[in-house]
Amino acid sequence: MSVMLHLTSVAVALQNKQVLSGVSLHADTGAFIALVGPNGAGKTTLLRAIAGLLPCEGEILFGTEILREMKAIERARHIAFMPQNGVVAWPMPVRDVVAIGRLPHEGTAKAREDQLRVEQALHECGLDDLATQNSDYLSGGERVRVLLARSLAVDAPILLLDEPVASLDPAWQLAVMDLLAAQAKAGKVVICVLHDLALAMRYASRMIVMNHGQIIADGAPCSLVEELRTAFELDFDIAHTPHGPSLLAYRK
Amino acid sequence: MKAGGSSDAALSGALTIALLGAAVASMMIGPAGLGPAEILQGLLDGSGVQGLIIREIRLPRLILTLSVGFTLGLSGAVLQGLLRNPLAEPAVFGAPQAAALGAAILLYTGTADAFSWGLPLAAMTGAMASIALVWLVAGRMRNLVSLLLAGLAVASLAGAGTALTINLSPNPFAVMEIVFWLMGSFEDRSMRHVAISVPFMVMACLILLRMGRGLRALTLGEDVAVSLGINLAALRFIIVLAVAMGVGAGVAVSGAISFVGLIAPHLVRSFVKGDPARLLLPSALSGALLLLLSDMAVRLLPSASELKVGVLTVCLGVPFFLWLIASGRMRFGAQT
Repeated sequence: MSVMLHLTSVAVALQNKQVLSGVSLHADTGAFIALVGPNGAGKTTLLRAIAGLLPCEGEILFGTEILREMKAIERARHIAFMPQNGVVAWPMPVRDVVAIGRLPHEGTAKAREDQLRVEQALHECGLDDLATQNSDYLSGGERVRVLLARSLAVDAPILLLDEPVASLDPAWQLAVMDLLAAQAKAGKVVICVLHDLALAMRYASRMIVMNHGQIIADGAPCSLVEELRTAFELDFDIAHTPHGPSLLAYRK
Repeated sequence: MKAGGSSDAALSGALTIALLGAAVASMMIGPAGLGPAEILQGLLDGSGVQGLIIREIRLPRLILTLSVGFTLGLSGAVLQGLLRNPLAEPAVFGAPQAAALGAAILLYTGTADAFSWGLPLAAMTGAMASIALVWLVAGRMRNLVSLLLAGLAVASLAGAGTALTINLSPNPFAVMEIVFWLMGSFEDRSMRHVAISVPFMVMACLILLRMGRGLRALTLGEDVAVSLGINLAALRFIIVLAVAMGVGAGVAVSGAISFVGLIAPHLVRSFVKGDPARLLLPSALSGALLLLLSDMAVRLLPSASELKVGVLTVCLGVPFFLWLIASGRMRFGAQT
């Protein structure tokens, strides 16, 4: 399996404050990585650094290409990024919003291909019936699905998502996690910030625990309970259910 | 992916036809009653009194009205897209106010009559200076809010400077000249005015019309736009500079004309389904149409001295705009 994403000693300072330091990780195709950690641990900063939105030290490689030296448009085709609390500034039909994801392919992809990707993304996020709806009449959860579909429409090999399920109802949380797992299985690298550790444990193939701007653990989700205790300063139990392991948190 | 290509063409086509009709009608308005045939002859031939009236009086007025309206409508749409705010218009960066100050100073000193290029030049210098100041103060910062605040501050400063100029003016004639100029008008403009301002406006519009892609990406916020490959710093720099150039050149020959840049994008936004890229051309065309109709109205309304078009655009525009808001026919932006 080829290694797609390499980070070597990545560090980010914002306003003279070190928010990320010494971050190294390697991700293969097919990895579904849950990025967890307490508030302010640097999860969002790490995603933004990988997406090329922040100046950072260290090296980020995509395959054999150095991310910093890639053209913006090349980078855009390789990495799709879905920020937390995304907005749609103008009342646009859902399909048009999703189609914005095809922007990096403008001039290279055929119109048919663009259309196909958009329709597929709409379908995967359960938006077939909402495609012509105006974006300002959507519920919070529907809007998140629209923005997720927008990220999927890019059809990039690396998918970075910041808290994609936080405002979804349980049924859609599971559906979206299934969808992301399927994306990883299809050969993408999916890195997803999650606060719901139980979901992370059930779905992710790998968990990265962050604290104070550093990666403190990286491995199979079930093997990291001790590290989670340290990072969150909580007690955790793994409950074995017929549907797989689940995580319960307690105050120490 | 092109969305709504044919309906956009229909919208722009309809606006263009309306513009052409209004343009012909506008050429016919004036003390000398001229029909379409005489206008055509005057345009082609240019000899005699008719030719003179057509080529030296009505044509420059028409060209300036259309270019200024087009530029204002386009600038408004671009700035609203850039700032993702339905309240944005060219005045937020202080360019029109600073242009007015430049002109007011020249009128104050009485040197405006010494050479005819003076006034447009002073206005354009004012616009450029304000943008340079805004950029110097806040340009290096990555966030837009500091840019906006600097723009508002510079606009206030320019407004105060103009008031001060009026305040200190030595004679009532200069005051009157400044006040009239501030109202905005296309009266008595010549081909010389066209020559000095239109090239800048055309250049600015050609640049601004190409910004659609970046503005569309910005609909989803700055992070997403950058992740989609948009160079945000360059986009901002180009837009602010082009708006300053176009609006500065426009204000330089027309005086202060407000409201067109704010209202034009809202008139057509729902027709293009909110897409800030598809909005550009229709908004520019409706800006031109709006200003042309206003300029025809000031010539048709009976009054002792000719009404100023800048006054009329606001007097007619505001009630219409308020009605649109109250009727709920217009959705200005996302509700979140």
